Amino acid sequence: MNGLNYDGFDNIHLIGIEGLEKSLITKLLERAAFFNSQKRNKKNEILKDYLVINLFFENSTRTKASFEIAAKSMSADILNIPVSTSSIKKGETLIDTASTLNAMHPDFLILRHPNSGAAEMLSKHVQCSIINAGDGRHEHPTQALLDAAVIKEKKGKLEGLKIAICGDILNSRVARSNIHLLITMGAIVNVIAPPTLMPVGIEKMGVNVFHDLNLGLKSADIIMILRLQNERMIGSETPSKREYYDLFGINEENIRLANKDVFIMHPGPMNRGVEIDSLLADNNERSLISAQVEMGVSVRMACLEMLKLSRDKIYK
Amino acid sequence: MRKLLFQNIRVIDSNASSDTFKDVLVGEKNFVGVDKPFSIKNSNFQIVEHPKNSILMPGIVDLRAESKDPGETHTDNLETLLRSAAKGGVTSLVCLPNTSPIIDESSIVHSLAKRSESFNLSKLLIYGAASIGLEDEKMSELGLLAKAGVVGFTNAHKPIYNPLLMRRVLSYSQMLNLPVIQHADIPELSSDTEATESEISTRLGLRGVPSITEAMLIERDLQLVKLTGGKYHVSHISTKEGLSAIEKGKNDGCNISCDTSPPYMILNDFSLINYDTRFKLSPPLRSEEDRLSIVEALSNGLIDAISSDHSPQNRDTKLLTFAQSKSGSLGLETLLSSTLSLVNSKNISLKRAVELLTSGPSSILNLNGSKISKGFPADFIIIDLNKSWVAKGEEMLSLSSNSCFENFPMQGTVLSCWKDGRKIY
Repeated sequence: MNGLNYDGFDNIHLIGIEGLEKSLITKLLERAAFFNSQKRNKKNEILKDYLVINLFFENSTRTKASFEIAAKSMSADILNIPVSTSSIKKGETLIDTASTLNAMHPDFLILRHPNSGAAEMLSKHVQCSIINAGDGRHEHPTQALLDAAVIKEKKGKLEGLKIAICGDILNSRVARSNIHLLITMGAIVNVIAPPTLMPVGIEKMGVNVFHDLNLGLKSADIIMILRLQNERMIGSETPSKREYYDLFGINEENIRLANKDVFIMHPGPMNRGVEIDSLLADNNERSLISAQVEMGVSVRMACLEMLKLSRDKIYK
Repeated sequence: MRKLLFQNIRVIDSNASSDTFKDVLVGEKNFVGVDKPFSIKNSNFQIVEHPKNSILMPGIVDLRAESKDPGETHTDNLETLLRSAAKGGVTSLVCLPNTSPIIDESSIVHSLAKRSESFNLSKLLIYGAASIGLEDEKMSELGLLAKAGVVGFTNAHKPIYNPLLMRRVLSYSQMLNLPVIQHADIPELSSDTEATESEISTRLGLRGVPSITEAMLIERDLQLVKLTGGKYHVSHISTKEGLSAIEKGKNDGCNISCDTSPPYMILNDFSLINYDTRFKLSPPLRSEEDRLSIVEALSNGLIDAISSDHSPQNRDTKLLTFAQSKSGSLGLETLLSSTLSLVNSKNISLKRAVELLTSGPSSILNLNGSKISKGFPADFIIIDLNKSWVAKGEEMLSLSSNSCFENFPMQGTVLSCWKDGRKIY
């Protein structure tokens, strides 16, 4: 801990990747790699006497569990608010819920919400640190950080790598956070999706846009596959599952167009046979999906630690 | 009643020859004399003092304001609406029919008109609902609504979208010589959207509506206007494409007009960057390119009027996420100053600004007024072009405080407001 600092970061919230400096991201990734090397064989006491609240307005298994394990590994107290059985179902507004929780003096509030901007809005109404665990289609910063940490671990660098992000770019907060991060770190980013799932102006974020999977995968070092929210999109933004798989599904065959040592990533949960071939998902030589989950805990520890240091400067 | 004399005051209206110093004599209800400075001499009047550099201009006529009364009086009531109008220099304003109950039958028009008159403030004019319940299916009793005094027909914050209904309303309202007021949008493309589709909406992850929906509906409507010969007006126009459609319709000789509102003259979608719900408006804020085309159309005469698009929303409905919060901003008290900001930036002349706020909207509504001339109704305001102030929602007279111009520096203010020769602010 001695000498650890995140110069240039004086925010107590982590809302998004957009606007974070390259040097700060590098430090976070280094620190995450350090935590990852510890394999949690010993609990540390970095967050002893700190209270973390998980407030998830959307279903989540891995992100919620990941934050909980990260907080516990650092000896924090953690409280999970089950939204489906709480007053929120009785019509309480987000700000009222958060103000109520804020009055219990948590140090961190981990928020996932279906509306873009929810985390930013809350950050203006509470004293605790907000960590955005996904707001609508806007950002999911810890996912992008963990993806980058895994890539760095496997490839040794981010700069100059070609990363293909394939799938529902339009509705994906994971895509937005990853684009911001990868472009900031000097990677080349291809985004691949049918035009109905490609948002207007995405090229202004510095990416190359493809509607042809084969062209977009060419010489990629990493393929990030996004989840197709097929429960709501089939028949509207894309005609059918089988058509989607035919045109945009990633399988053993089409990854040959990428670099021969290409890795596959997916933020989960996967739709096997829709956006990714089942065999490929289980191919441990190609797939980094388990590594992503493991790194998720370490990255969240690094983020909690960074915000704790900012908080300590102000409050302690 | 003694007559009131404004002696040697700078007078501006939309008459070509105005903008000179004059004596203005105000009698009961009307102007009884407007002449050269110090030429009006009579013992039977009282001189009204005014600051040296003030201007006398016609009262503002506002084509679009939302009344939350009846129905939602904790958000705003009739009295606070009319007091906001008077403070903003608006002597006549038209409210939308989206009250509760909806203004789709004459008894509601009578009661609202009667109540508004009891305050002796600005004149409340009323649009009748084009469709029963604003449901876009069956035509309301347009004739009875007209007899009760409505000045036009509209589906308020929703478009008249059903083509059969639009055809009938345009056709029927022609007999009544009243305009059909459109909020131009395509519901299937805009439902659940939060912003104009652009690089900004993509970055923010807000659901975007393409800006062409405005022009799409105007273009359809123009065909129906040609078919029926109806009188058609587009409210709060906000896009370059919408303006092109209006231009084409006007060139084709259609009986059409349009207005815009200050947010679309001054702000663009970059304002959404912090998800501040004060900037959630309908139509949504547009691109800078759209804004510039709106400013140009104000200058070249394509846009006929500026309306406040006053829409009080209570605090609770704005203290939500961007997706959940309601659209709308207060507009009455900032209407004049925000219009004058285009004069200060030399985009439009002062005379053009006055025209856009007074005779422009008056002629759309067939009102007799907006002239500082003998015999005309004495609806006027005294303004100070230079006075600076800062817009603060909390200080506005509405029961709500949702101003999209919060903390904006403003220049120019209403010193006093007069309706039918009587001071109402």
